[in-house]
Amino acid sequence: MSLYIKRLKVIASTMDGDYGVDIPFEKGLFILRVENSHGKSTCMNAIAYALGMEKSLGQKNSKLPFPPSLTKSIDNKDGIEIGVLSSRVYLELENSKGEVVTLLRHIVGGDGETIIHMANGELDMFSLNPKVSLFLHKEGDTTRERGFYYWVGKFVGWVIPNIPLYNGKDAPLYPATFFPTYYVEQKKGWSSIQATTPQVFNIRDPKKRAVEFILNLDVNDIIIKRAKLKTAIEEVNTAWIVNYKKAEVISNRISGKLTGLMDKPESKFDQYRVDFSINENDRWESVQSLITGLKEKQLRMLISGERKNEIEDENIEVLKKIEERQRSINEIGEKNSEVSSEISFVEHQITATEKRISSLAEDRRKYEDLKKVGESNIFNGDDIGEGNCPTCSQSYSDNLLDSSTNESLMSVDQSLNYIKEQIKTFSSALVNSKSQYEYKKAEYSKNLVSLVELRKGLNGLNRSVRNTSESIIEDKLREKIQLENKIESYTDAVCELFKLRLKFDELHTKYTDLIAKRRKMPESYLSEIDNKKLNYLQTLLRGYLKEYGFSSFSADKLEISKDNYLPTREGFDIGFDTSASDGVRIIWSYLLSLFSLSLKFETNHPNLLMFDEPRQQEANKVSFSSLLKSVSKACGEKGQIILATSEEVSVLRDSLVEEKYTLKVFEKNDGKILRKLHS
Amino acid sequence: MKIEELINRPFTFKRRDVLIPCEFRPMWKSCLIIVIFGITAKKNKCSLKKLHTASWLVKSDEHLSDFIKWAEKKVLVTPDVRFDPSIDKAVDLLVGNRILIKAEGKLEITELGMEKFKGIEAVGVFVEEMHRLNVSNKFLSEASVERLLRAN
Repeated sequence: MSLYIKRLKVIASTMDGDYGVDIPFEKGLFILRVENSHGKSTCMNAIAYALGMEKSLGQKNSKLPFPPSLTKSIDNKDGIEIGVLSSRVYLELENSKGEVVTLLRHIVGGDGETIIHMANGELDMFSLNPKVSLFLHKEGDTTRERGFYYWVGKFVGWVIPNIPLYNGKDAPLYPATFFPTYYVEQKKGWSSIQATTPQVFNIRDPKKRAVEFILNLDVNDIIIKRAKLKTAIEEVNTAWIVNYKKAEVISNRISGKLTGLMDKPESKFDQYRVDFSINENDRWESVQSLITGLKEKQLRMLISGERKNEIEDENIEVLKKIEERQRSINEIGEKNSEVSSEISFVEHQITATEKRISSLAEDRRKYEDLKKVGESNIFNGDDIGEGNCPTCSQSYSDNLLDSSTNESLMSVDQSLNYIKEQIKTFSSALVNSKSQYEYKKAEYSKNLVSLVELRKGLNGLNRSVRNTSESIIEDKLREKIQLENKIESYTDAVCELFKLRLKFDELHTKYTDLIAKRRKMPESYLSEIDNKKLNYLQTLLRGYLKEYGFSSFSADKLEISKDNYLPTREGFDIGFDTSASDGVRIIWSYLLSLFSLSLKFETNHPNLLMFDEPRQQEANKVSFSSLLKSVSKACGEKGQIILATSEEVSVLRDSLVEEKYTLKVFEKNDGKILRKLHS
Repeated sequence: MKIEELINRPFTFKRRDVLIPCEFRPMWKSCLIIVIFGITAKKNKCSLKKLHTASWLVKSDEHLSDFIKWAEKKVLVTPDVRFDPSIDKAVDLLVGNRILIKAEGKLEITELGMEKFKGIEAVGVFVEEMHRLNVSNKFLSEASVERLLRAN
């Protein structure tokens, strides 16, 4: 897997003809020597721009990464300004299979914002060869056939993995995310490792994901495996919820409450405990035992009906019944209004508890952050963590709202424990309230149904108060039918539940299997080969640092963190406690180590490394020529390292005696690098 | 036990340590201000008004969405920005520690402050806050903050 830059051509068309620069590159170490502010960064940025990586140049807005000479106007030989009509950049590339392509991207006056044109073959043949338009910065640019990043991945030989986003979804890793692992930009690139990694793609830990991909760590596979497992578990969860809802619908139909079943799968589950309970005479009873009771009642009714055919004093009987029904209607109505107010109280309680839990969780996150900050060495030696006023040295409390108070506050650890306990308490209260809510709801709807039934009966009795014997028969009949209906609907519900139980049982088996698999996944995400790679990276880094005269502390104290794959010292990120020049040495050595690692292990590194030397006022902190030692060796036959520098030619030659390299010099006397092109 | 027995015994009160929301811890607030400067400051500078607005903005997703809808002119209702007095105290503390300096009516983060910001970034904390700031950064210009506060 490799990417080799063969030729760059930048053109600005003006009324006075074409201006621009044409640079043929070579494999191995390639040094582009240009005077400061003469167009060095323009060339380097043009490479990034042609590769569609301008978002990785550390610019906050979407401004073009070019000076006015390519976007507005250019000075000619005599110093007269000429307006730029259009400008574009051509880039000739080669991959590990030896395929050569040329890319064209317009800068001004064209479709450069979203389109890159690609043709097979060399740059000189570009206008003759058939072209393909590839789109970028639009949805699908990493996944669709005509997406530019999709094409780049295919051309270099990358299998772009899917990685998790902030919103919980996942998406392909944007190549712009790992561009800073092989390209260092001039202005911001030297402030820290991968300083210009774009944050706009909503990717969680983009820098970490970038190194994982570049080193081809198995972590990626494990993350993907975990993600698959997670999706499978989620599928089971969804199926469970669907069936749970079905069971709930059935239980609502018979005004009951589902018991013995949680709304999501748990480790313990017994299908025989799943049942409906129904509130009968203020007691919650299982539907199974209710059916038995109802059947007994039905039988008793049949027997009494046969025995008693004669009716005495029917009128009184009917009136008694009316009175009785009226009383029960009143009772149930009163009870239901009580239940309804209880429901609204429980509802309010649930919302309040949920709100409380979410605010506690938010506070817990903040305290965890605070604890991490406290454990790091960021504020070591400052007064902020000490509780003393930096001006008058008086002590103040750890509460910004009232700094003079003598009230003793909980420590951070105490607060965290306290908050965790509170969350536990409130969560269990929430579970209780929710189940209480369900019970009340079921009771309410059951009462409503019985109210309707009672009113129907009452109407019938009232209507036929005169025709008593008939009405009593009718009443008996209605009671009988109601009983039959009830038995039927309960039995139906039990039958349906039986089917659902089998489904739940099947889902539960699946769920326990998946959970067991998840438990078997390795604790650490890193595989054995990953650890080997990281250890070798550490050896390489220490070696390079020693060679380049790293002096802030002993290079042997540096370690590659297994957490974020960056160099750390005693578990702390470095970059704050090193000198500025050592900062540059670390970035240089780290990226070079990533590059060199690909010679020994299978990685995704494109075997290409591009450095744009820092601006002059910062550059004198470290001599770049000293960093060149061993670079050409590291480069070997396989890769390409491009360095844009303003170091004196003689210094460069001296430091690279007996080494293989290509030096392209643009003399200061010839003016800026963008010159009139002679066609 | 009889009530007399209880009352006649000597008893003491013990003052318990108090829990305060993490936001009011000087260290947390200081880090937040450094993060706000690190992400939203133009040329390392930021006005107090913008600082207050950004601090209100990162408090919740509702604040963020209210602000973005207003900035994109999707709604006409101007969100109510609440000024948090603890910000001013934390700013004083940061100025005392030479992490911020007061310059030309604005606050400016020093090199030391930017180093602290990088430190905070590297530890991987304030993730939610940074995310909210990154999302809203393009709308958080001094001019739009001024417009937002004037509309209130």
